[in-house]
Order: sequence, then C-alpha cells, then structure tokens
Amino acid sequence: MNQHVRRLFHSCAAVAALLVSSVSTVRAQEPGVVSGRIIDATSNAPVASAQVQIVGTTRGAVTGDDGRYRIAGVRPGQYQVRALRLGYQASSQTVDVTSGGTAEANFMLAPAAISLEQVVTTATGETERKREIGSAVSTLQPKAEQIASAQNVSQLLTGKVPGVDVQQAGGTVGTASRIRIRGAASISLTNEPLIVIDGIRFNNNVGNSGTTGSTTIGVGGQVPSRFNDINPEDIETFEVLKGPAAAAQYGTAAANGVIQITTKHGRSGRPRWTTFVEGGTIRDVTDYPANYLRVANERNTNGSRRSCTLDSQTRGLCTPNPDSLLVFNPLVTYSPFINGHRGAYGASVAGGSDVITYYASGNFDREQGVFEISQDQRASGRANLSIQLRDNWNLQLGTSYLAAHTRLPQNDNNVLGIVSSGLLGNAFDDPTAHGYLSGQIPPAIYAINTHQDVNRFENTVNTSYQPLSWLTATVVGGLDYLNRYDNEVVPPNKVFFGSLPDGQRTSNPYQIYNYSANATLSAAFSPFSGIKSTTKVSGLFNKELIRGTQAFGAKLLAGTTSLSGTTARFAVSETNTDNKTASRLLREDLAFRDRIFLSGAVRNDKNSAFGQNFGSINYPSVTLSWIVNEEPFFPKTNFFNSLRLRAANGRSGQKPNFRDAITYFNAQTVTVSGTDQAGVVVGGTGNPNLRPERSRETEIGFDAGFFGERIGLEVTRYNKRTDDLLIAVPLPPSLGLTTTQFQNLGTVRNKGNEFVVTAKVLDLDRAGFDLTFAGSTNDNVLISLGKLSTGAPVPPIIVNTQQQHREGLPLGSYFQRSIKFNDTNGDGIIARSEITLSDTAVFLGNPLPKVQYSITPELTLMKIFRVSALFDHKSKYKLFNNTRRFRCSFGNCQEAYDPKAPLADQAASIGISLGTDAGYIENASFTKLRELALSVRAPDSWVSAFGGHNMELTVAGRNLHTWTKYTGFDPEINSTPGASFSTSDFLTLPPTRNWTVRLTTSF
Amino acid sequence: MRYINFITAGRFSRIRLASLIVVATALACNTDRILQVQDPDVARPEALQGVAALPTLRAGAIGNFGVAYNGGAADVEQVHLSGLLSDEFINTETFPTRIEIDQRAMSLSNTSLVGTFFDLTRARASSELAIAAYKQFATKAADSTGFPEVLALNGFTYILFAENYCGAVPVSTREADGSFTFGAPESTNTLLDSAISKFNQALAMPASPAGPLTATFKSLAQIGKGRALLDSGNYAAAAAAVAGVSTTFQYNYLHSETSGRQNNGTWSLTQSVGRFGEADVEAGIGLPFASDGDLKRTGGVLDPRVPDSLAARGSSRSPKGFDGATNQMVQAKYPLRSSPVTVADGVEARLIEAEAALSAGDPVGALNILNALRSNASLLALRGYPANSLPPLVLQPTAAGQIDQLFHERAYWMYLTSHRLGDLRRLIRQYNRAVNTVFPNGLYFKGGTYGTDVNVPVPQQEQNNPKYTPGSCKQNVA
Repeated sequence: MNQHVRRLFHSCAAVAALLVSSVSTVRAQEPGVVSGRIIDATSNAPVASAQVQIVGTTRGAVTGDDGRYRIAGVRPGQYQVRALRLGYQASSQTVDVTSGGTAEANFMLAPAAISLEQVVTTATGETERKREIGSAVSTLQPKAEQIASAQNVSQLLTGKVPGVDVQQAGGTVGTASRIRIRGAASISLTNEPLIVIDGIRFNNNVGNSGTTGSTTIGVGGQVPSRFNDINPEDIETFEVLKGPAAAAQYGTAAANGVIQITTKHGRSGRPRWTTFVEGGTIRDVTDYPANYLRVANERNTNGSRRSCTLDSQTRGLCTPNPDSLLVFNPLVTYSPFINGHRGAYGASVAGGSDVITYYASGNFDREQGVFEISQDQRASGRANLSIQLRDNWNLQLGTSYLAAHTRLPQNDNNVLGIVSSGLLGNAFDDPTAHGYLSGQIPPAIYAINTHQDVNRFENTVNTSYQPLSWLTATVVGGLDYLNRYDNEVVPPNKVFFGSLPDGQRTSNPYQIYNYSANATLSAAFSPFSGIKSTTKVSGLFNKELIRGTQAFGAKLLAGTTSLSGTTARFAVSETNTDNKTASRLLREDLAFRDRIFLSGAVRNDKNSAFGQNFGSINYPSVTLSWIVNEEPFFPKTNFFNSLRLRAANGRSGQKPNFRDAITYFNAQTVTVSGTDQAGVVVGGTGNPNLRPERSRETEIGFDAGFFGERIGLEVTRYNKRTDDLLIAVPLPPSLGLTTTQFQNLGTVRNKGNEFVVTAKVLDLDRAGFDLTFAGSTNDNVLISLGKLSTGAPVPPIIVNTQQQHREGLPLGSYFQRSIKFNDTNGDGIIARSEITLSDTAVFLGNPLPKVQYSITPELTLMKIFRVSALFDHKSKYKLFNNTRRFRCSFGNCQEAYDPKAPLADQAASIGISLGTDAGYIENASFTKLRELALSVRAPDSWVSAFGGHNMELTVAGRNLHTWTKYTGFDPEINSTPGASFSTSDFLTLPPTRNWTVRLTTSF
Repeated sequence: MRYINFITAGRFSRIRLASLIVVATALACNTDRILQVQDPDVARPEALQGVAALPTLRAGAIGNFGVAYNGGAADVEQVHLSGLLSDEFINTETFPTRIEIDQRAMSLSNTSLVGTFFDLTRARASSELAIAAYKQFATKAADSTGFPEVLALNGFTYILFAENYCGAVPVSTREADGSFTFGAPESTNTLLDSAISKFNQALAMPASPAGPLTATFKSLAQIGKGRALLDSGNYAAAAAAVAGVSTTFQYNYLHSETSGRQNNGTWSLTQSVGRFGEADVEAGIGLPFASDGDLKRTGGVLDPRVPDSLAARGSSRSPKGFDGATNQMVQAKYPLRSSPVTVADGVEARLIEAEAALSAGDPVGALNILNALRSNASLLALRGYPANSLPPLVLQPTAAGQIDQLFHERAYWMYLTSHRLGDLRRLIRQYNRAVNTVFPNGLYFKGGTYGTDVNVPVPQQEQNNPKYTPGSCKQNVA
C-alpha cells in the first residue's frame, strides 16, 4: 500500500481506537459456557453445520457432525440462544449463564422448506438474518454430489439460483463461463457479477485483455476463468445478491449483483478429517458434420475445376460434374479427440478448542481434456482460523493459495484451431493435411504451447470487538493477489502458417492486486419498547492494481523455449492500471418486535476512474421485511404456516474503466531517416465528465410456507433500471481520433420474476423425496441510447455484423434481413429467385434467455441411497450458428451442394450470398439433464468399525442429454465468453459429457 | 440485564457519542488524496507541448501515414484497397469483408473498411496536429526541421481520400479545447485542392539550409502537387509542378521489423498469411501482372517491376492462399516485412510529364519519356532490376493504344503503391472509358458476379457526423 493509504488507515484507525477505548469497560466476573446438541425433530438425527448464536453478541459456534456445540468464555448473564440451519426452522431459547457455570441449550429443529433464519453476510463483513433483509438473497450450500458433478465453481452454480444465468460456453477444460444475474445492463463495461470471498473482493476478470481480461494470449475464443480459481471444496455457502436492491451497500461495483462466498471454518472439538478421492471421464460426444464439395464441368483460368454450388447451378454459372459430390470428415477419419479424464484428491481437517478453531484443506485436481494438449491442473490449500481473543473480541484469519496450470488448445475463430480446421477443411483426404484447413494435422499444431500459470493468494482478516453490549466494531481487510503468467512457445519449423515457422515466444507475467478494507462501528439500542435500532457507520476502501509486462520475440533458436532464445522482432510493453474506490456508508436498521425490519442506508463513493469534473456519488437504499405470520392476527392453520412480505429499493453503480475519462497518446516506433524514433498515436479520446453507470432496482416479494413448512414458496418481482450508461459513442472516423468516446448516455431496464418452490414431498424415516422448482424471467430492454451533443439520437450500436443495441429492444439483439423461400418450380433446389428478403434488417431475437427454470428432484432411501438430478431449461433466446454459416460461406456445408439438403437449409445458405445470415440465427431454447447423481452412504456400523464417521460414494454425470431444436452442436456454446454481448457458436468445442466417481470419508 | 439498564440510562449520551463517531470518522478520512493514481504507460496531451515535442509529433505523423498507406499487419490499407478494387490483387482468403472489396460490391457496414478509413483520417489528423504545433512552437528555423515533410504527408492523405474514396469525404477536427468541429462531405476536387494547398505551403517555405525545405522535401511536395493536379485533369500544370525532380529521387516510407505496426503490410497480407494474390488479367480485363512478373517462368521473368511467384510464400507448404482453395501468386515486390514502400519518386514525375505530353498531342514525346525511364541504368539499378530488362516500347498507332500504353507503364512502375485505383477512375473520368472496359467485371471467380463499385465508400460510422449526408457517397461514380 502506498503512503496515502497508510495515512488514511492511520487517521481512521486512530479515531476509531480512541473512541472505542474511551467507552471500554473492565469486567472481572469469571465467564461461563453455553453448550448443547441440535437434532432433527423428525429423525432425531444430529444436525451438523448448524449455526448457534448468542443474540446481541458476536459469539457463536457451529455444530459438529454429532450435532454438538460449545461456546465458552461467555460473560455471565441472561441470553437468548438461537440455532439456525439451512433447511430447518430456526429455534431460540433463553439461558442464564452463571459465573464459571455451564448453561445447556438443546434444540430440535423442524425441517422447513423456507428458512428465514439463515445468516447472510453484509457488505461490511458483518452478518444478519435473512428475515431482516427486504431483498431476495439466494443461499446455496453445495452438497457433495453437486461438487462431484461439477468440474468447477461455475458449474456448481449452474441452474441452482433463479435469476442467475451461467452459460457454459465450451468444452475446453479450464475455460470460463459467462455469468449474468438478472440480465445484462451495461453496454460497455463488464456484466459479470462482483465476487466477494469472506468479505474480500476477488478478481473475476474474463476475456482477452491486459486490463480487464483473464489472459493476454488468445487462442481463438475460449479464455481461462478467474471465478473458477475458487476451490469448490472449501465453500460453505454461496449468497447471491442479485441486484442493487440487495447490493447497494457494495456501491460502485455491484450493479451486476454480488456473489458472496463464505468458506468453511472450524468448530470446537476433536479434529475431524474429511478426505475425498475423485475420478472420472471427460468425453466429446458431438456428431461433427462432414465437409462437402461438388465440382463443375467448367474450369478456372488456371485449369482447376470450379466448385459448383446449388446457387451457382441455378444461376447458370456452372454445370455440376455428375457424381462429383465429395464428402469427407477429417474430424472423424483423423479424429483429434481422445477420452479425457479427471482426478481430484483432497483432505481437510476441522477442529479446535473453546478459544481457537481451525479449518485447513488441501486439494489437487487434474483434468485432461478431449484434446491431447488440453489440460488443467490445480493444487490449492486453505487455512481458516477463528480466535476468541476475549469474550467480546474475536478474530478470524483466512488464507488460501492456488497453483494452477492450464494449457489451452487453439480453437474457435482460429485457422489453426483443431475443431475449426476440421470443420473448414477439405471434402477429400489429402496426403499432407488429411483434410484439415490449416494444412497440417492437429498434432502438428499441438507444437504451439499456450498456457497460463497462476499463483494466487487470498488473505483475510476479520475482527469484531464488542466493547459495550450496544457497540460493536468490525474491521475486515484483505488482499487477493494474483500472479498470472500467460505464455506461449511456437518452436521453429513446426507450425506452418504466417511467420510461425520462424518460431516465437510470448511471455506476459501479470501481477494483479485487489485490496479490500472495511471498518464499521455499529451501535445498537432500544429507544422504545419493542424497537431495536442499529446504527452503522463504515469506511470502505478498495484498490485494484494491475502490473503486467508483455514481451515477444521471434526467430526462436531451436531447442530454446524462452525469450532468450529469440533473435528478432522483439516487442515489449507494459500494462499498469490502478483503480481506487473510497467510500463512506451510513446505515440505520430498525426492528419492530423482531417482526418488522426497516433498513435505510446511503453509501458515498469516490473513484479514481471518474471524470475529473465529477465528484462523488451517493447510493441510497431502503428495505422492508415483515414476518406476517408472527403477528397475532395471522391465522394458525396447518395449510398456511408462514408468510413474509418484503420490499427493497437500492442503487449501485459501475465505474468507468481505467483511462476512459482521459485523452491520451500511445507511443509508436517510427523509422525516420533510418533511425527509430518515438512517435505518438492517439490512444483514447477522454471525457472529463464521465460518471459511473447508475442502477436503481426495486423488488418486492414474499416467502410463504405451507403444510407445516413442507412446501415453501419464494416469489420476487424486480425492476432494475440502469441510467447513465457508459456508451462508447462511435466517433465519426473523419475526426481522426479513436473509434469511440465514452459518454454517459442511455438507459436499460431489466425486469422479471423469480420463484422457488421447495417441497418435502415425502419425509419419512426411511424415505424422503424433495423437489425444488426454481425459475426466473428476464425482460431486457434498451430504453434509450441517449442523444449526442448535436442533439441527434445516438444511432444503434453495432456489436458485430449480426448483433446491435437498438432502442426498444433487448441489448445485443440479432438483426438481419429476414428470409422467406418457396420452391416454386418444385425442383427440390432453392434458387435465388425463390427467395424473398425483407427490405431492411429486422429484429430476430435476443442473445440471453428470457426464461429459465430448473427442476431438482432428490430421493433418499433408508438414509443410505440418495438420487438427485438437475433438469435445466432456458428458452426465448436465439443463438447465431456461425459454425454452420461459415461452413456454408466457405463452401463446406451440405446444403451448399447437395440437392437432398432440406430446403430451409438451402435457403439459409443462399441467403449468405444475398447478404443475410438470418437462416443461421436459431432458436436456442433447450432443456438439459444437466446433472444426475447417485450417492450411497455406508452404514454407520461399517464406518465406525474402522474408526470412521461417515463414508459416501457418489457417481455423478454432467451434460447427459439435451432436448433442443437448435441445429448446432450445443445451444449454450459461445465462442467469445469474455465478451459482454457478442454471442455466436463459431467453431467451438462443445461442452463435454462427464462422469465422476467420488468417495468421501470423514473420521 | 445490566447492560440493557446501562443503555436505557445513558441513551442521550450514547446518541451524542454515536454522532461523534460518525462525524470524527468521516472527517478523519481524506479520500481525495488516496484516490490519486499513477499512469506511466501513456502520454497526456500536455506532455506534447513545446519545441521539444516537435520531433515526436513529426515522427507520429510519419508513422501514422505509413500505417494508413501500407499498413502494419492487421488489415487492408490504401495500397491494398487500391490493389483489390482494381486489377492488381485477387482475394485468396476467406474473410467476406475483403472479398467484398475484390468483388467491387462493398457494403457500408463492411468492417474492414472502417479501420482503413480511420487510419487515413488518423494520419491526416496526426499530421495536422504536428502542423499546428510547428506553427505554434517553431519560432526559429532550426526548430522547423521536417515541417515541409509533415505538410506534404498531410497533402498526400487528401490525395488518397480523393483517389480512392467516393467523392464525399468529410474532414472533421478536434479543437484544442476538446470540442469537435464536424465537416460536410467534400468532393474529389475539393480534396485535391486541399492537397495542393498543403503542397504549396510546403514549397513556400524557405529552402535549406536557411530554411527547412530540403531537396528531398521539395521533390516530395512537387510530386504530390503534380499528382493532385493530374487527378484534377490539369496535365500541363502537373508537368510543370514536377519539373526538375530527379528521376532517381525516391521518398520511401521505411518499414521495419521493430514492431508489428512498422511491418510492411503488403508483405504481411501476402507473403505471410496469403490473403491476396497477384492478379493475372483479372476477369479478362486486368493487366497480366502475375504472368509478366512470374519469377519462375521458363525463360525468365518478363517484367521485373511486378515480381511474383506461386511458391514464394515460404511460411506455408501449400501454394494455395489462406482459403486453401485459390492458387496464390505471391507478390515479391515487398519480399520482407521491412521492405520500404515508395510514396513518391522521380519515376512518377516523369510519368506525369509523359501524360502531359500525350495530352498535349505529343505521343512521340510521351513515348520517349517512357522509354527513357525503361533504359535509365541508374534507375534500374536503384530498383534492383537487371540491366536491359525493360526493352523499349513502340509507338502505338492509335490514341487509345497510346493511353493504354501509358497507363500500363504507370501500373507497372507504380505497382502496389496505391496509384492503380485512381488511374482506373481517371480512365473513366478523364478519358471517357466505359467502366466495364476498365474494371474487372462479369463472373467473380469465387462465385457470383462483380459489383459496380469503382471507389471505396465512406464507412457507415461516419453517419455519426451530423454534417454527413449518407447519400452523397456514390460508389459507382468515378
């Protein structure tokens, strides 16, 4: 941290320490203990991982596998003790702790489909009960079988949370997914959510960019994932704050929602070890189409035969040579695919005393993708320590380390891509390339070694001090440090394209620092009977620092693989970006009889990327939660048991990118009179008035429980409006500046509904059947693009040839001239004359699904067998099948030559020549059997015979079946997962089918 | 309950205390200071002020012109645009946007054209930024070094707009205060007038050594002025403008291996990645560049000015272009990524004089100039051509034949220097040739037919200019 930061901390800390110390009191009584056991009210089984809290203090514990807990060092007095567990109704009781004595509080928790007592972490690192929050916060506690069926954190989240769209873009191991929460709102900035782990911001960059990406070396499309740097084994819970209504207190970072991750912590008691071993297969199960060609009787001027498409034939430009239809599939005949596999091993231990608890884990995970060179390997470790320094002062320390190595194959938009080269290759075998476009068989391309090494440290300190019963100070600080090394070697005379035979080396080390620091003082008191007031004031600071170097050299000396072996075309540059946010947060919570909760807050942010003419921004929020069923008037019936009404309104934002607000020049080398000199080229056309994007969201909803809480229902309606959109306004090229300039224009609205139905259909001692049905809708509309300084409206923004941002329509909408056809002469061949195009480009659909839902059944038999599945559905969206389109424009697809091809396909192919891709913008709606898992739990008698506590074997599958009308390889494919809106299926390796066997043992 | 009692009893003092905490904490944190960040990677405009910045701005103007003229590595620039749309290049790749250019059927949304136009406007703006700085800061003659060069390069950007684009090119500017002044579409003649004005400003500067106008910069400005006048149809004035320029004079943009941006873009697009091949009587209309320049021809190359070879692209094992289907005759005029490209030379001066002679009804005089070039040993040596490799031409019996002969010579001497498209347009505009006798037309070898474009449209993005009239750009008007 630099000097300024230190000064800030010193000054703030000094004031805080002075104030806190001035109100501290000294107490001399011997502390007591609160302990007990928590069991399931139905089965009498111990409830593990339940949270036990002493209300009004920072003290608490988590139950072990035997359901027991113990909280030592409790100041004598009368307390309310509360027990909470996801899936159960909360319970509380009052205990008297005497000096040196032990107060026992045992609980029987009744299963509940809806749990309002779940604890949720706030932006400042404290916790609050879900019932106190007026917004919908989804909490997910990963189960072993879910972890088994997921290769990474993104997949773990897929289909689990309504409103969260996780799009698995491809099948290359180690690559990223696209995550959207409640739609997308930003045209120019990221639409990925903010990731916070144990209160610390976690870099989640995606894409191929030095400043905002996850890599700097492109392989055609797929990019590594930073989100997946998180080890699923260490996650206790996900909490998804879906928009500004819930996440306003995160300020200029939370417009896209926040995913808060809490890692596992220890619990007092003897060490409890958990180990797992996992193995499985990764297979490509796609039927790739063959390449087609038909030649003409006519010849080119150089004597070669011309190709003869159906289009050319019907236009009289060629006559097909009889029986000349060639069909060849290099991806089948000379298949590059192998059966991939994965293996994972890990162990964790948790335990501790009354004063110190610990959790430590270590994991190793290796995945071999479906290409020989597609590999992802990760080793990680985590240690979390909780220390009760005093009865009113606790400290949590956390650290994690990840070492990852990912090797990426060339693919997608890449002439050397493996799938690309096969799908665009020849319709006949040839002795050199065997049909591959690149002129080489894939193993020759494997000489290109593109990989990324990651070393990532995350360190957290969270301390809470309660000097007075009404005053609590909380400080959370930490650093997410990412050392990323993107590098590539192309050995000489191995790959024959462009300058690659020279051999070359790219070496791009990056250090990315993300500092977080929050300090909060919380004062609670009861001004009137039945009313509790909590006032919080916080100071928050965040700093994101990127230090990167890009170095390149060519003409590599054979036998060397580093820059030292290069002898020509040296190029070096740096990327240095620094972004800082300083914030103040004032919050007031009012609780009325612990049934009505009203909370208001305002956060004030300043950010270094704001324009120099812009000061700070305020993000207010207000939420209301009313537990209606606890009101005396609420009828007590067996049918309708609980009801909570909630409403929230909040604002948050998104900062401009580094340098968006300034005008600057980049250096360029110019040879003047034979000497290299420094010249300049305009790099950015800044805007000193640049403000953050501002999102304002209102949501209302209710949570209800029926039939003795066996059926739970959560319903939420949200309406999010994003103003001051940072729009890269296209500058007229005649200015001779950059292509765009950022301006705060435009408005986007996302609104929709979310629901979760949770049903305990069967809840018997020997059999249980749970069913979760969760879904959401999203209606995304670009309300306005604003006006230029000239008063003219900003014209539609062209995302790419097929996609545009147009007012009144969803962002990134597909536009093309529509196509109609009719085989009027009945010859089975569509001619141009039989095609009608619309006069102008028309709206053809949106790239993000408007509707998604998932069904998760789970059957448990004899407490031993458990079968679960995840059916995932997404609909009302389109996907540009550019794989097929490009094959046709390339003259490779069946419909370009074969009169037996469907007429619609022929028309689509001819449409390309007529200037429309409409025939390839397809309905991508699908339903997938995303996950299927069978778990078998060993009988306790078996396990205890060798001293164990639990043993479970899980067999899990992923991507097992897809029901869709989409004609491409997979309706979720996206060749540019790092892009905000650009979406197409373009020569991408589709998601693979995986099976995993996992054995988990605890002792 | 002791604490609860305490709370109740001390409610007001507690509120005061809480307020104090809020105020004190807020006041203690001076957030402005900690929000300062460093940005060492780029130069802000204020760093480019004063005399010391002039060499940097001049180098920037030269570099930006070089990129706009013959590219670095990314996409087509003026040399390639001219070559593709005319008969110098054929497309041997897959990218539809560049196929559109070769097929003479460019859409306004053609993304390849956006960067090309941007690069040329950026070159114009960059040289004008340097010109403004010279005017403001170069108070002494010694500070004006390179000023005529920057003026001349600025003039050449206007020539390229006039020769290659659609006769409706706006010129907009960013003012010193950051505001924009948008320009209305300017006609070809207006653009040429602007070019001539810039060349005149350069030529009006004091000559070296007292002033910055060196012999090199003078010749550069003379040829530029002559070229603009020729484009305007002022043949005699054009010839007068280039009088005295040495035949062996060359002003080259110096490509380099130092950075990708400095690479010879034609080399990149042809020798490196096989996007374009040398055309050979394209569509039965064009000149036989590939045949005449075939370095592997039995009996030797017919014309060393347009060298090419089917197997010259050393990076690939295939003689096919990027599309894997089209034989690519790879140009060999620029064999290296560092091969220089000529912007203006004495040959062009002589060719202008020859055309003026022809225009004045002196075909023999014109032929003598052409043959003098072909037999100029110094020139052939300078260009690396074998001695006597260009036998003398004979007088064509008809006026049309004489024009064809002249334009053939221009095409070969100035192959791949962004002259050919302007010449084809002049054949239509100034010599009344029918479009289909000049531009490739009919069936396009990759399927479909040629379009009707004879120039390059201003890209769709220019419609963000409130003074731009989209319909003013006529792609089929020479």
